[in-house]
Amino acid sequence: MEILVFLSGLIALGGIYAMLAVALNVNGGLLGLWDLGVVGYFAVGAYSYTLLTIDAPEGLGLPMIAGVIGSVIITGLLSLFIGYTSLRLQSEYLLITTFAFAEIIRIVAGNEEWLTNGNIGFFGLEKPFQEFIPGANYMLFFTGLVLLSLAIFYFFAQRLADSPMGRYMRAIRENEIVTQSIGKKIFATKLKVFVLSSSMVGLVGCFYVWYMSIIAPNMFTSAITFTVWTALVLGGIGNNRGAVIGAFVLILVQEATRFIPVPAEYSVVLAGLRQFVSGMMLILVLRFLPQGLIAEKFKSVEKLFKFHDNSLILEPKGVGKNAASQGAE
Amino acid sequence: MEYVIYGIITGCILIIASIGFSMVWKTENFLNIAHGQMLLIGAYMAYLFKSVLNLPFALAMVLSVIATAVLGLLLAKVFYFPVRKSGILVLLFTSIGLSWVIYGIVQAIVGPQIRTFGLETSNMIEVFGSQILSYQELLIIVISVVCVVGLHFILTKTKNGKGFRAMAENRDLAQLRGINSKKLSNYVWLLSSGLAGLAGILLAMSGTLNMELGWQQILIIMSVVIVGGMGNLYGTMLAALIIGLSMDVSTMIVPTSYRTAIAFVIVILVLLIRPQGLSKGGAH
Repeated sequence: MEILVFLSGLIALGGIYAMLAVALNVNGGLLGLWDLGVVGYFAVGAYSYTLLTIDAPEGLGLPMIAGVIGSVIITGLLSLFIGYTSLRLQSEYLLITTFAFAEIIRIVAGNEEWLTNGNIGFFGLEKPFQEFIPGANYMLFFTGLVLLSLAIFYFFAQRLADSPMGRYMRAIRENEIVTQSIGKKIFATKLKVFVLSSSMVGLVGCFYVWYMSIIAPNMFTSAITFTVWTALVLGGIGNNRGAVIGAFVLILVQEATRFIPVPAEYSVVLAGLRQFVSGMMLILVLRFLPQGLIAEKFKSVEKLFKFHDNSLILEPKGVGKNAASQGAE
Repeated sequence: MEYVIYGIITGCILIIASIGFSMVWKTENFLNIAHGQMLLIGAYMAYLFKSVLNLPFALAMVLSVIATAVLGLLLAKVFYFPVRKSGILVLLFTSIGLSWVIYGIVQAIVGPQIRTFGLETSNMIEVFGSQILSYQELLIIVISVVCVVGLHFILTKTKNGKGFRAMAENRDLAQLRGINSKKLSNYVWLLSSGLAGLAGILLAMSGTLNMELGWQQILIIMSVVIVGGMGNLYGTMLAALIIGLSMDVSTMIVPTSYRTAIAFVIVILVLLIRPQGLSKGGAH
């Protein structure tokens, strides 16, 4: 039983990172934004959920669902501001700006004690439906909840990637100038996708709070951003299945070493080893499988036509009349 | 006044830390995140030589700078050179992976304790009757001035330095004109890692030695390089001083814990107002 609880905890953590990777894939993978601010939106989501739901005087004591919705909205608004100021910048410059915003968010969370209780943070936070499910079984239930929402995230991201919007995002990633030249609004799209992806990350923040049942600024260091990006690169950038697999593989490898029974004085060595293995994995995958474990696949337009010709299903929006008429020829 | 002195010292260390990063960005076109971990390596090497092997501090410093430089070149040859063709994104992530590898190894060896070099506190220098800085702090300033002057000399007077500037402007054209870019990029990696090691030692001298040193500094280094304008060495030096000064002088107004946040606010503001950084253009 104990091992089952431990395993389900591991899967829950993997699921949380998988959700982050899927959300990051929306703007980092499909749109090709070099966004190193993931942990910032994550922290904002987690903190706004906590502050909305925790009892007065620290928080507003709202019901859980209001906290979740509120955290998504607050993260969305903040990322709208961050995106509006920084999305005009290109690659490296965007990377550093988003990184800087995330660091500022963490420093503010550590210092504004009236709001966030400083470095101590809050602990003993409530988890959803905790009163209905007794003790040990709760972790199993929670894992189920995480996996369910991961499935929703995955489904949503997959739909988005297949939609006209998804193709348009890839077009921007591959060649911004050409996409602009055919009359697409680059900045507006980037901003939209950025806010969407960040709000998704903010939502995952709530799960993280439930999982940890505490919240403190040192939970939100840039290591999380790097872990999520590593997961995405491992699995294959631009590919939702890759994002999920990459996250689970990375978390399993990192956490599996906790199983190894070692004397206490070697625990530091083991912690170092964990970092070493994650880093080596990233380097080796990049060297030998630059596309990641699963390469991004493009659904070819021709395949879509054949499908149409045979089954006469309504043509999906955005394939376009042009393409359809070509198919008819 | 003392805040200004602290600011100048921080700025001097930042100059040394950022120049190498900037040079690599200029020649290899990617952000070498592992540069921060080279600072860590330099600092712990010096600790090894000074406190474990009991060498004199000056000798320990020289040895660890050389060791870090050689190690940096080796790491670049093993990890970066083979994936150079795959593009800057792959290089960037390889450097993140390498940061983790270095961090993990150092952590496994030294553990989490915070250490210091255990240097004796030196006397203060009195100017106009007020104590303004210690000999150690003066040493930091002198070392960085020597580095800046030396670097300026190398870049403008030696053949390799001129070659570096040519290569930074246009790699293909430089190669066409008979500049050996392979040899030059070896020099760049040696110099960059050596400077990083030196910066790590100076940082640990002015504060303490801990595992997070590399991660903390790389963010500030990136801010400095961005503010200075991409790969512009003189702009970088200026930006390092500005950011160092504003970080320390700002502690008069805002709480000390916001010190690093100031650097990031500056970089965001600069990027919004002048996306090319303070000084536009190449390395003159």
